[in-house]
Amino acid sequence: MTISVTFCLFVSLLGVTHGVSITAYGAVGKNVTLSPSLDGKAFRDITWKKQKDKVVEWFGDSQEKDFPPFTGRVVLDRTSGNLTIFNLTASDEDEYEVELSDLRTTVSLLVFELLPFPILNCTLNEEIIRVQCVIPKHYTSHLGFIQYFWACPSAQCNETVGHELHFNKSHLPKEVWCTVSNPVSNMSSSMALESCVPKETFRKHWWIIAAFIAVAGVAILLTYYFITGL
Amino acid sequence: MENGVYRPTTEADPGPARAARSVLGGCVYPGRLPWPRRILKSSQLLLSLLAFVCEEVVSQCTLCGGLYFFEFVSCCAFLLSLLILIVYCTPIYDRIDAEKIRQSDFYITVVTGVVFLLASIIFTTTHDRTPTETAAIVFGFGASFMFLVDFIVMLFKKRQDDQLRKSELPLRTEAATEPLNAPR
Repeated sequence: MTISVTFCLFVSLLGVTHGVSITAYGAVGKNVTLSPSLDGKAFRDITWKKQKDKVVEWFGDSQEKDFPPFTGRVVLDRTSGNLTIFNLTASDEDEYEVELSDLRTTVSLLVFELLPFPILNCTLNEEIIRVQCVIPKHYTSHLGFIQYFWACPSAQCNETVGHELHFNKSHLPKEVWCTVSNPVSNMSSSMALESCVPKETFRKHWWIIAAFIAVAGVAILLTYYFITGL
Repeated sequence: MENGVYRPTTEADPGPARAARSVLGGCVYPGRLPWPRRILKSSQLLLSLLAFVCEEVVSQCTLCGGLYFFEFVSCCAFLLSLLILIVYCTPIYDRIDAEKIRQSDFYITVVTGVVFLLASIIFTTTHDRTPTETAAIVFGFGASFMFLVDFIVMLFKKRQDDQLRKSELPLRTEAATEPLNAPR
């Protein structure tokens, strides 16, 4: 199996706004920026909280102050109110609340483990070949966000959304690619499909020659036996 | 056994086969074999040819060993049964000792039958389930069966002959000792 990686990490905020609530996605060990998306306002003070615990606070006339476990891991943009968290851990995942002067909004942070390479396997049943793209069992981070994409010369690949593909044995593309992705990363593996079909070879006819030689040998031996009596 | 005593009897009885040289211009004479064995020999020839032809039609194989062994054995079986039939049905038969032919036929038939049966069993376990392969296997088993039945018939005949010879033997030895003892 050839494995190729296309790894892409979104370090910036990937936000989906639902009213005032925003969701941001980050990957373990990477950075994420939480943005309140309230532009064009000059804020006098900013306070970011994770649930009830303060993350960082700033009042117009003072230095900003960060709190454990975010000490040294956060940077606050005083103009936009954006909070950047570095070196994310799984425990950073939570609901964050920001108070900007008299405004208040929340940002949900989801932290994903980096995706592993998907595993491709195939089974042959009658004339149908079933190809499955599986995420290794040890990976359990937000499985609901995982999407599967297929690539191959056949049109069937583009149409399939799930983790399973079916091919007819007679219309088998040479190779298929499976890409698994979540909002922060994606990983691809490929598989040569000829390995799914038991190898059939074009037979040779050399043994006819061997048979003729063997029978000729027997005939010679018989002639000798008939003449001399061995 | 090269004894002057036996000479008159062995030479005077050449068997019914040798007298039939003139039939069909002396080229083909199937009558040397009794009809059940003639049918057995012909079906061996036909079935092994059919098994061989069906097997040759197969163009692809997964486990080729079984197919190749079957190819070799069916081809050999066809050629050997053809060889035996040629010997029985042509003037060649008259030039060779009938006992030697019978013995060769006996061993060739049993060995071919057993090996063909083995090849058919192996091919059954390794074939790719295509219709031609199935046909080849059916013909293969049919041919093996014919070879083995032929062998059993020959074995039966041989035992009968042996028993007949045993019952005749004491009389002959008695008759043979008389002229040998007399001059000395």
